[in-house]
Amino acid sequence: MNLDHPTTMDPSDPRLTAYALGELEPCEQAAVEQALAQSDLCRQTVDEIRQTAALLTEHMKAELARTPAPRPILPIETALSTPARFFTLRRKVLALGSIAAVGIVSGLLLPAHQAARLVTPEEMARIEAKLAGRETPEYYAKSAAPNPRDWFSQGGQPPGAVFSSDAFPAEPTLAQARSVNPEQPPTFARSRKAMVAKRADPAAGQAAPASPLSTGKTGEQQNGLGMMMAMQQMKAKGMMGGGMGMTPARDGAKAGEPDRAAVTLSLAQGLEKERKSKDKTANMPAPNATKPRTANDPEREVIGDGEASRQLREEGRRKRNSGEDYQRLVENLFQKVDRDPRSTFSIDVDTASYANIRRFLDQNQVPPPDAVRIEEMINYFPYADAPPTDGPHPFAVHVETSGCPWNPSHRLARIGIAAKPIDQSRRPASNLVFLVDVSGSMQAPNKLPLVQWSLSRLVEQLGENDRVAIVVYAGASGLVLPSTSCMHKARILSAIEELQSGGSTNGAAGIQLAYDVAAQNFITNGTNRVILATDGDFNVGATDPNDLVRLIEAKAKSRVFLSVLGYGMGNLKDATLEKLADKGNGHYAYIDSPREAYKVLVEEMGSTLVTIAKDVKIQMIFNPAMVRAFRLIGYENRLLAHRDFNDDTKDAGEIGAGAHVTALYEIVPRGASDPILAGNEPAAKQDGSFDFAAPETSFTVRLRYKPPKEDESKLIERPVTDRGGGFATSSDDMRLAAAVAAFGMLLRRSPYHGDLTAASVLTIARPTLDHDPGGYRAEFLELVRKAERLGLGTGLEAP
Amino acid sequence: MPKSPEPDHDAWVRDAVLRHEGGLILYAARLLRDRELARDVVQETFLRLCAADRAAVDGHLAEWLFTVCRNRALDLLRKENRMATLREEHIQLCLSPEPGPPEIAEHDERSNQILRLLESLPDKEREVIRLKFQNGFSYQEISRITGHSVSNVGYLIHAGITSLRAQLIHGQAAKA
Repeated sequence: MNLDHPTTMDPSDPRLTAYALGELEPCEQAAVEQALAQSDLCRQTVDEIRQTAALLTEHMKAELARTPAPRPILPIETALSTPARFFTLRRKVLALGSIAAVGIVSGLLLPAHQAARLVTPEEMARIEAKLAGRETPEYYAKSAAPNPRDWFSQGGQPPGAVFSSDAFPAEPTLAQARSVNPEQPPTFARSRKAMVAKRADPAAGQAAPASPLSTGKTGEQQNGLGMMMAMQQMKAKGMMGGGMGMTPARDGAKAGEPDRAAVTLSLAQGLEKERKSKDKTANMPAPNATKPRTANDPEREVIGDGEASRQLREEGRRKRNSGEDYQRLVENLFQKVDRDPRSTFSIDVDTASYANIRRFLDQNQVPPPDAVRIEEMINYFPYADAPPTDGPHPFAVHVETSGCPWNPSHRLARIGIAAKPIDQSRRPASNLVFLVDVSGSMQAPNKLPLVQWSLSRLVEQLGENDRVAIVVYAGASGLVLPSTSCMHKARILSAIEELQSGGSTNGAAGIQLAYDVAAQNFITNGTNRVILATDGDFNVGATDPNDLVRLIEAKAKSRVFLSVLGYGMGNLKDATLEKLADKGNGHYAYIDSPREAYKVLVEEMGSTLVTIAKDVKIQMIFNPAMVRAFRLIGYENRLLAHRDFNDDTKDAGEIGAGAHVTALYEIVPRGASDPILAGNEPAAKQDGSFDFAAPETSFTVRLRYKPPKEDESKLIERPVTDRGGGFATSSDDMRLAAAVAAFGMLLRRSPYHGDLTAASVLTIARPTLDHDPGGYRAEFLELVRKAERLGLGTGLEAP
Repeated sequence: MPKSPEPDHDAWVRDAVLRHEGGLILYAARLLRDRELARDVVQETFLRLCAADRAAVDGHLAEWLFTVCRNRALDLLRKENRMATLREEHIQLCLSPEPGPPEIAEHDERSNQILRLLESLPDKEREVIRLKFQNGFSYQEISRITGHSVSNVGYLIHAGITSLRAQLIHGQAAKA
């Protein structure tokens, strides 16, 4: 919410300083000039800044002049006259290694630093065009004329290199870069890398990747989209897995390290006093990885050693994804209505499973079946179901029936819940606490840098009524930024940018602190939320996931909600993260790319931040006269006991503003002959008969929810009659949901998938492409094709 | 790639040494809190300049030098794990410049006050303020040297100036 109000600029606005020093960005010129015209205080401030600047310049230049003439530097003279002998191989290696390391790091990390700033209108237009499917990563690669001069002049810099070069697969990217930019005029940025490229010395190992990012773009484009493109290109080459897969190895090596990170982190407590205190130690930003590497491998300092890191990369590739953890899911069986006519479950708004599946397929890997949660796949997409315009309930319930494309004698029923969206300007004030995992395992570019990018994009959308605090956890936990109003965005963005990783993970202490901070700044009638960003690898302190889950469960009672953002791969603890979101009254999203971050934290910010209904449960009651059996597709780990439906003490899922939730049933109508259901049926156990309003009612949908601040649930009831419409004439939404469900069933190797193949999924899905907001459906088709190429659903793959 | 002695290249390097060595030593000394180490780091920086491709560096010589110097200094700090410590004698070393030509007493006092106030700033703010006012770099250049984003550089300078301003002009005690 960025209201442009005419009140005067705050004299503590950083733009006044930039203006006073002649460093103001042109787009801000008008705003500052207006403020100066209106406010004496601002004018005075600018005067004082200039006075201070003049004083500083004068005295510091004087200090410089007083520096005594340096003694002659003999080695330099020697170098100038006898260079060949002077530069031993070792010096060359060290020099090149460090420059290379810096080059690599800058190539891949640049956007992370670059992007932590306001999105200009041009950038926004590009993002929107991209999301509308008009632009793809290939488009960027082809259309952008390589011009690294532009890239450099826009602020391409070698960051104070904290990250080790061995986190990234240097060699493939160098080859890639060479093919992209065969000839470049020597400019500073280019030549630093080209210099290394020309001298790439096997012993030095780390040749700079002159990454796809330096296929230069003009400054406005050189933002997080560059990172998007780079990451997507890297993913396309399957490189990320190789590089990132190192983390298990690295974490293993870390186990025995004395916790130096803990010491530096406890300093974070003193951050609040940093300006007042003369103690230099307290001035360090909290998770300062003064020791980012373990004690066991001093080779892996920033001056990289090619051989060691190459070996580790190989190891990592072999171990790739071995550290991931998924909850075992058993697919729902067909349930005979005579035995039990009811189906009860909690709704689920998580979307993580789909993004995670996408991540696997982008790396040309078939996802493990347990990573596939079909309801999350279906819920990933936007649907056309209309939200309510009026009425007592905050959402509209849409029900539709149709034929079943994978089994002609069955029917499908789709229940779509469309929540009322919220106007950004009327969004209630937010009290947010970012709880960021800064342990060593978060170091990869698709983890902490992506977290930083994600959170920065969110902060940019917030307004003066919102507050943000940042808590980190790794070894020790620390308050990096006390709860700060979004009037001071620069301060918040600065704190996000300063986050660095190092140490092992103690999730419990961090969670405790984050909730405490949220409680201290609680806004009645507002949004109070902890946003947890992590790869889920909690490996210090309360490492038992159940302990963590219990902790979250207790904290959830405080009316502070939780959003869980999962990052990374190789040790993504999907099961834990999903449980945490579930118990914490929140949702779980997996962020595999800047685009996904943008989707979850900007596009869907309304639903992420504003809960309009909590403890939402669904109970379907099928009419035995019309339905023989049914099967709920997905929601396997959301099932509830039937009596829990009316029990308001039982927790269930939350729905955010503007969100959409789908539940899909496969139905066997009375009269259908079905080999699955053949056989003797035991006597039906009926507990409580249900009076269907009309005998031809197929089923009744019942829904309970609580308004966010209340503890008593409300009931919505809707009887539905299946009118027998065919699949081909069903709605776009129905066909999309069915296609996605079908793909999910293939990925799960479901016994119910009937005649389904990848090709038939494509056939079902293709007609829905006419309406593709955001381009997600086209992306879905791509994923299906990828899966097909990997052998899925062709009948050819191994069982 | 070390070149065979070329008079032009040599002259260029020597000129760079003359123009920038002082500033670099001061800069490195602030980072390392040790003048001797600073000299070593600056020496290495110029050695790299000898090996550098002149065409690549020309035009941003100062920035290149400061960037390389900074990285080397940080590497050293990390290796020797000095980032968190500040020894008393080093404070003195940094605060009191080596004896130079005599100056007006009042000017000296003001200088000392400013230098003292600078030392009270957080490291990051102090570094960017020095780069801006002592070495004359722009926000963009500072961003490239230090690795902070341009907006972060702006924020750090703003925060530093705000503190300094309060103390220099209003005589207020240091505030957050």
